[in-house]
Amino acid sequence: MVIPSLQYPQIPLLLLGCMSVFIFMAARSFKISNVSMALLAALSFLLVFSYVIFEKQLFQIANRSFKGFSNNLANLFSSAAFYSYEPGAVFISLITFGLATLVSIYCAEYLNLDRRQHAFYPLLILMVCGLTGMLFSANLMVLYLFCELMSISAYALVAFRRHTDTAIEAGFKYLMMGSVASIVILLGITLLFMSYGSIHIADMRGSTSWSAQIGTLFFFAGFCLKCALVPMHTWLPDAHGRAPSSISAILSGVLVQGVFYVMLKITLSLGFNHVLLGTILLCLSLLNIMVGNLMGLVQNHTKRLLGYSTIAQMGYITLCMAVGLRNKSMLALQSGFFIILAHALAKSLAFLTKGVFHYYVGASEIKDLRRASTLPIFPSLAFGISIISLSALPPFPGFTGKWIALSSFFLSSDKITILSALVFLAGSLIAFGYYFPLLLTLFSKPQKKVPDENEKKTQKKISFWMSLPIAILVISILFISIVPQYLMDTSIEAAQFLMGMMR
Amino acid sequence: MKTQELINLSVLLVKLLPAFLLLIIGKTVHRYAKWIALTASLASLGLFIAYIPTLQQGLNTPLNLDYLPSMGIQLSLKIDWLSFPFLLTEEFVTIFAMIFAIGYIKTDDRNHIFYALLLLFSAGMSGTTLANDIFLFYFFWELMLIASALLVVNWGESAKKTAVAFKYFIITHLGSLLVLVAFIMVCSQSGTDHFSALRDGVQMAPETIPLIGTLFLLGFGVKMAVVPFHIWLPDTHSEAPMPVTIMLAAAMLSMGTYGILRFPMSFLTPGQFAMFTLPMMIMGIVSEFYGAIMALVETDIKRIIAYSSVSQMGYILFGLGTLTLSGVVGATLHVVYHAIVKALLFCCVGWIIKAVGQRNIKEIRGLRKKLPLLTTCTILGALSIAGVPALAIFNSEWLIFSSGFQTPYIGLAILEILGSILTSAYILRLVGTMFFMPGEVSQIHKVPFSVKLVTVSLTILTVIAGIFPKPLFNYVANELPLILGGTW
Repeated sequence: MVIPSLQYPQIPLLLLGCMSVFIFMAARSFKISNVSMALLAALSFLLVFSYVIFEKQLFQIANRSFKGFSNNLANLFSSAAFYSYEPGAVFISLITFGLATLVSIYCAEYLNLDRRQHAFYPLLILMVCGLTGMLFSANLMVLYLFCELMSISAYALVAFRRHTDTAIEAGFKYLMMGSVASIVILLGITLLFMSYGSIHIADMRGSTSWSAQIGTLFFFAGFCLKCALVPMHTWLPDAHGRAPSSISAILSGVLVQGVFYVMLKITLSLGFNHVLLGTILLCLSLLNIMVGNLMGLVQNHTKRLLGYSTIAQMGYITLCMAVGLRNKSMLALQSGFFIILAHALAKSLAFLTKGVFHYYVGASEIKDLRRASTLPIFPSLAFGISIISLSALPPFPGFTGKWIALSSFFLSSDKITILSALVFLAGSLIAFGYYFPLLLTLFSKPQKKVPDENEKKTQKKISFWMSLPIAILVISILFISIVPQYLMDTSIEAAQFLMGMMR
Repeated sequence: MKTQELINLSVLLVKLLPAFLLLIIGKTVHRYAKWIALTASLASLGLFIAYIPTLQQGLNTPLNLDYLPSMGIQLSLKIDWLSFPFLLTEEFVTIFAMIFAIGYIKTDDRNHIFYALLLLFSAGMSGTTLANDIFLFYFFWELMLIASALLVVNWGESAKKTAVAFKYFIITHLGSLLVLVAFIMVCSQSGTDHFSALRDGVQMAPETIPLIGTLFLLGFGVKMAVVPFHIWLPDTHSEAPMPVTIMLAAAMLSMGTYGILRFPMSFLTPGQFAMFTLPMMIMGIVSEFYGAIMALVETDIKRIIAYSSVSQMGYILFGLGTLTLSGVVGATLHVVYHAIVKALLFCCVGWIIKAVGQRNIKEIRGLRKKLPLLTTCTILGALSIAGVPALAIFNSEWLIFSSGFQTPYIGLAILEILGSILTSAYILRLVGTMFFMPGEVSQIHKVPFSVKLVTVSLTILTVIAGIFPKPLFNYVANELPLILGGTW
């Protein structure tokens, strides 16, 4: 019996593409309100989310495993263009869709700060669509197209608040660096095509010709920039610090990690030696950990700080994956996926609550967080939870991920792995240098002021649209902290898939 | 699930739940926060006492809960004789600190957060002692740290509080990370994190044993504030509000001792542990001398008592390091007695600060005539910490001193005894200057009743514990010999 598993990743992609056009047209012609646009976007994300979950369940019932992809049809929208069922991509795309749903709901209120909402939601949907396309693409040209779709929407979204100079600057910087990366990637793809005479990943393996080698290297280097591996990270703090908080949540939470996963997968399947790749990534990840954490210490802008924290967390994820590749360690790969989800939840929660503070009390610098005490304690607690999870304190998933990662590191007898574990620990100690003041400022006493008429009347209420996503994120963080085994079981398939890639 | 197993959990929950409730919806009831917190800690103590018969019958089964089976992590709670003295200390100190806080801390609209954090701090400590697996132990270990750091930073007594709390947090967290590395090494080698499984014999690779032991000792040494790692202690203790100082000094310091007893000494056989004997004894003596000398030259009365803690931790480390029965039992008893006496001394200091409004020893003169009750309490506390017979600390000090002579290092044992002279010196300076030097303080403020109540009851406890050491001794010495050999 043939069960329609996720053989057609085209379906979510098409749906998302149509929805973006639909929302744009509807907004232009009927002047529909921000809330309804947000809910439409949320609905479409929810639809694709449930589609993927549904297919995943069916797939598991049928008990089939990834069998690769056929390349009989060279058509762009044939199954040759996409992996039919790819556990890692499913894992990350589920996180993406989930976060995107929450962010859209959140924007129903948050975007009242801005105008031009009719451009926002289509761009958001296109960005998610681009990421999903990248995750599932089995064809370098399709990969490139979706990568550009994602990047261009992301540039536009970063510069969405175009009335501020800083947003324009950040968007421009992101655009320039991202374009360089795109060109390098395109060059790599061209060289690979030159060498293999095909753009299908299935055809590309094991050529020792110079063009294939250099092409793989170019491809790798371009993607390193896109996923902010030090020293190619400089765009990230600006972009994530200046984008609207809701966008930063997706950018930091899942976009970078998704791109990283794609890079890892494709580079491996291009026949890059996994030990070599692991070693290169290990060096980069150590740089990431140190630079991200040290630069985080000197920030005074909350979102920039969170951006540097993302760089550091990318370092942890990269380190786990790198150790997994070097030592062929299943547990390390699993911990990488664990940290991806833990970080996605915690970081997006941090950005969303930061958005609440920004929206209601205009807090953007760290010292402004004091003003949060005029709000109900709920967002402050949520922010606290996310920070504690990010700084890897028990019992939150950040700590469980760290525990699993360190266990896998200490199991190996490799000296370099042990040393990098120590860097991991040192990094998380340094990270307290900026996480802890953040917490302290949030929960410290507000400065005594002359009572102001305007301030007195408002014990502000937080909008339902903003508190719902925050509550859902908090609940999912608590869920993972109570039942981490569930996540371990979920990530096992993805890790197995990557293990299978190493030959 | 039996009732006995549930008590394990409820000792904790009875503190954790009110703490979270107070944090989230406490704003409306902030006036009653102190009573809620006090009731919660009394209930916790009551449940714990109700559990003692079960413990005596040996029915103390653990409460287990699968958490991360693929990593061999199983959450588990259990009270046993090893954790008993620590849990007892912690529960009592919490209650004394709570009562002290009721009078000492001014009621304002952030009261509920203060008491919630105090409860969380206390729950962190009782969780640390109750935990029967590494994961849970580490969770409560960090909870204790976060809660106390937040208390210091928000209710600290001077403008330096943020910096002090930050230093406290980073240094103690560094210790925690060392412990974490050791934990993960033990767990990944043995495939389990359950204490019972670990105690039944872990086959660890022989080359990693020195490393694991060192990591444990260094990590717990930071919490114990043994000399090179003590730098967080004087600042934190003098900066924290008095009830928090009482809990930090009397209860939290002992967690380091508990860690050393629970991990390196239990997992490793005495033969494997023997390599740490000499370093521990030497570090103990260094701490003892250093703390006492610093206490002699400090002028801030709160810092004098804080340095006295460093010195007293030196005794405990020495006792543990001798690896003899009297040394280990003495050290554990010393934890309990030190908790009582240190809480008493800090209460007295709190009383003086409230009454005189001064912390500098040079400004406080001739309190004897004006505050006779305080004078009696302080002198009893001071005599006790100086090791005068028939008061609490003498018994444990006797055991620790005598243990030194059972080791080959007689010279160290003699040094240890000589160190206690310095203790008498700084305590005499403190008492003599404040109470017996001629001079007058300008004004005596009124002191809340709860402060007096706690101080007097701790004084009575000091005397009782000194005169009747036997019941406590029996409880403490129940399972401790097993550390030195034998099966659990």
